[in-house]
Amino acid sequence: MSHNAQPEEPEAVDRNGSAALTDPHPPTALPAEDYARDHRWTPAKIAIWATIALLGGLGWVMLALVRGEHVNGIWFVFASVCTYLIGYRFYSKYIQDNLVRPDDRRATPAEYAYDGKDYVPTDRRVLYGHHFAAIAGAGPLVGPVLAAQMGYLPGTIWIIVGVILAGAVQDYLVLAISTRRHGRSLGQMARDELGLVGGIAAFVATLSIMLIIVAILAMVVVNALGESAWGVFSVGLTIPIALFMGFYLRFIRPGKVMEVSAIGCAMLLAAIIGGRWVSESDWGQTLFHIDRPVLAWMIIGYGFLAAVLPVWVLLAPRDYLSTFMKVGVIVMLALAIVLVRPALQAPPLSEYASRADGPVFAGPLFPFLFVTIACGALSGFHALISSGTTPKLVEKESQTRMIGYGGMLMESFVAIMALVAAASIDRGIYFAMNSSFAATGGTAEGAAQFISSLGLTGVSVEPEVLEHTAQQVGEHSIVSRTGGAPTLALGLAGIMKRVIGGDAMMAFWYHFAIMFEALFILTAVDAGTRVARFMLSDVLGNVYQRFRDPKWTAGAWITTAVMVAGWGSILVMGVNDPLGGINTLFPLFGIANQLLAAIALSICLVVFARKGRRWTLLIIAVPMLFTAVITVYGSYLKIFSPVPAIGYWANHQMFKEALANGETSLGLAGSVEEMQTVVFNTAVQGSLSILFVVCALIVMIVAVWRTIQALRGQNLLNTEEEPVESVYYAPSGLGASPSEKALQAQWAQWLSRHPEKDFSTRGGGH
Amino acid sequence: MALTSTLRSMLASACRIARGVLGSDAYDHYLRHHEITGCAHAPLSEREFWRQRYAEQDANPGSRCC
Repeated sequence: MSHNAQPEEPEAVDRNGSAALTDPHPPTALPAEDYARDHRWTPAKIAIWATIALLGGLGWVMLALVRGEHVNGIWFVFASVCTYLIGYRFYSKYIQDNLVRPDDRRATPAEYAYDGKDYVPTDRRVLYGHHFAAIAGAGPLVGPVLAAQMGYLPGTIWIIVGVILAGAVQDYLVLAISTRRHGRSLGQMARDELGLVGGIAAFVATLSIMLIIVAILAMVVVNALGESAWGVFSVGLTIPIALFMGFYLRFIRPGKVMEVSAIGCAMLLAAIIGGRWVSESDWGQTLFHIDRPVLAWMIIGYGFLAAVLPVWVLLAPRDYLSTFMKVGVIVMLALAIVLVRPALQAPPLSEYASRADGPVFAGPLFPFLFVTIACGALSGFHALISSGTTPKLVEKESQTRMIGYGGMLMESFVAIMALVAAASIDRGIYFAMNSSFAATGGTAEGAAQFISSLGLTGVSVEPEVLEHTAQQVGEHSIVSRTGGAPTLALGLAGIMKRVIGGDAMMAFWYHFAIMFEALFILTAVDAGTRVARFMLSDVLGNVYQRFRDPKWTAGAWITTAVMVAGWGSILVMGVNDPLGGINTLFPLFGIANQLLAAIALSICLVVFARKGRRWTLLIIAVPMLFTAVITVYGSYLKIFSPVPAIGYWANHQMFKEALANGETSLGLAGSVEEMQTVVFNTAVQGSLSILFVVCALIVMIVAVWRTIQALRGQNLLNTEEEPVESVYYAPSGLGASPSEKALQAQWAQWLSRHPEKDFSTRGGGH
Repeated sequence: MALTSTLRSMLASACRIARGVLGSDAYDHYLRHHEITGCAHAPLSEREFWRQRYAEQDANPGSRCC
């Protein structure tokens, strides 16, 4: 391979033993001349790439420049997919050849630490799906919906350009450096590279960011299910379904994961269908029509139980169900958008693109659009998956490009689809659903009034339309269903009903969408609480050794309770917030997630500076700087802005003074109690903002300092594992090139003579 | 005939990939590891293997994303 042209590693250790001397294995990396032959530019290839470029260009022209009636959703597919292909083929290839320089002659952790469990060389296509299922969740579905407030264009540009230059780069690089370091986690790498202070700051940032992410995701679920008997019933049934699956896998047919997931999925569909009947019955309304604050407490209780119970009971089966649904739903949605080609109702740029007082989320486009979209363009959380889990399964270093970079492109495409779905909803309905309860009063009339008071050209909604839409999706009301999930569900239902079922199926599709979003989120809540609990017990173990013992039940309960109290208090606070929890808290979620990305990129910067890279460090430094600017500036506004709708402390001060003056209502808060809530909430939110940004700044400053040292040739730590020579071969990309196929055939022959070197489950003759 | 066999092999590999993504093939990997590392003791039964696997996950959780 061309990127093997400059070997920079010391001679690898030979662990082949004597067998290799008599029957040497075929090359473990594609020889450079074969690679060059496969990648030579032919007229046909040039024509294909020219067509892709033209199609993508046409897509962008249709989205950005042509001003017709309504732009068609299909152009988003062309613009995004073609841009991804070009970004993958050219930019990620450039990163691979000039920055990462993988060496396929080196064994990966999956090979040298092969244990048949955590470390297993895994077929690259399987691992792609596995990695994607681990990184994708509700984030890319929710952020773009909120961003549609500003029109579709700013969001689309950031999702597509951001993923190519920042998000996919981060995922790829973290995966690559962790693979060279025995699959070490981001936290461990932070300590290794940045030293004690940087390591502690990274740890505090990661833990607190994890809690805020869990809290706000949980709030999305609460908002989607609040006062919806159908939603509560069908999502609630996922718990007994998961219990059944866990029981089935433990006692009836152990290991039949595929089978039980299919059964569970069928039960889920039955639960959604049954939900209509339950929601229309009196007892159903009495039992399952639950207020948001109560639901919040139920989710807190659930989160605690799920984190202390053994994983086989609840967590593992839910995870199977969630993975099963995730891949299925995303494929279905992509097909539906191509088939239906919905016309978009949102303008390219709305009035709010140049204002800071949007009803969905407050703040100007720069920086708040970038933090709101969060996961679809750049997600720091992915760095936790790209380190630790996936690197222990990679077969070849050169595959990290396809898995890390390629996996993130797919997530970005999910975000684009969510944006299309949200932008295909009538604008009046969109704002009625996403404006806070205090603004609309929660009634159709109130919402209609509020929408017309916004004074947006061409945006209005009749109360009857809102009532009719609510009826169509089987809900009492769709007013002020903030959080993004219900809006996305409505958009999806509008698209899916045109493929299957028509109007009669609208309510089914709506609740189907609510169900899978809730499923993803609750899985993230379980897993997030559990991971956070282990991080805490690790720290407490320094003070009291026994916390490190995973079998100590009391310790597990205490640490879980602390972590649940952490996110639970933010959740309760958000649910009771008179200003609308999503409106005020979602930017905090976005900032937290992007700060984590800045931390991950900082670590990559130090690693590659110490490897001796120079100008190519800009590949990391530019997105890192951009993320640092949007998050630090975003935090700055949240902390110091004098505009109460944006600055937490300004709002805090305003309400405090109003209370001191004896006022009994202010803005959206209608009573003294609500005003006191605002005073408290803004103080907590403001303090969290400060905590995040201080931790992230410490990490970034330490990282920049270490990088400058490295550029001067000082402090050049090498934290890589000693190279081990590989005795394994697998192609690099999703498909195999002709030379790769030929090499695979050579290996198949060699492995038939040396079956003890064959890790694949197919080659073993069973 | 060639078409049906191509379709069949495509279906088989789609099934294999789906099993892998879901993690359903963990026991196969374990058996393969047991076989080639030449352990003296008999491999765990499928039931026992999954019990141990979940017990390990209890002690060492993996992260899921937002």
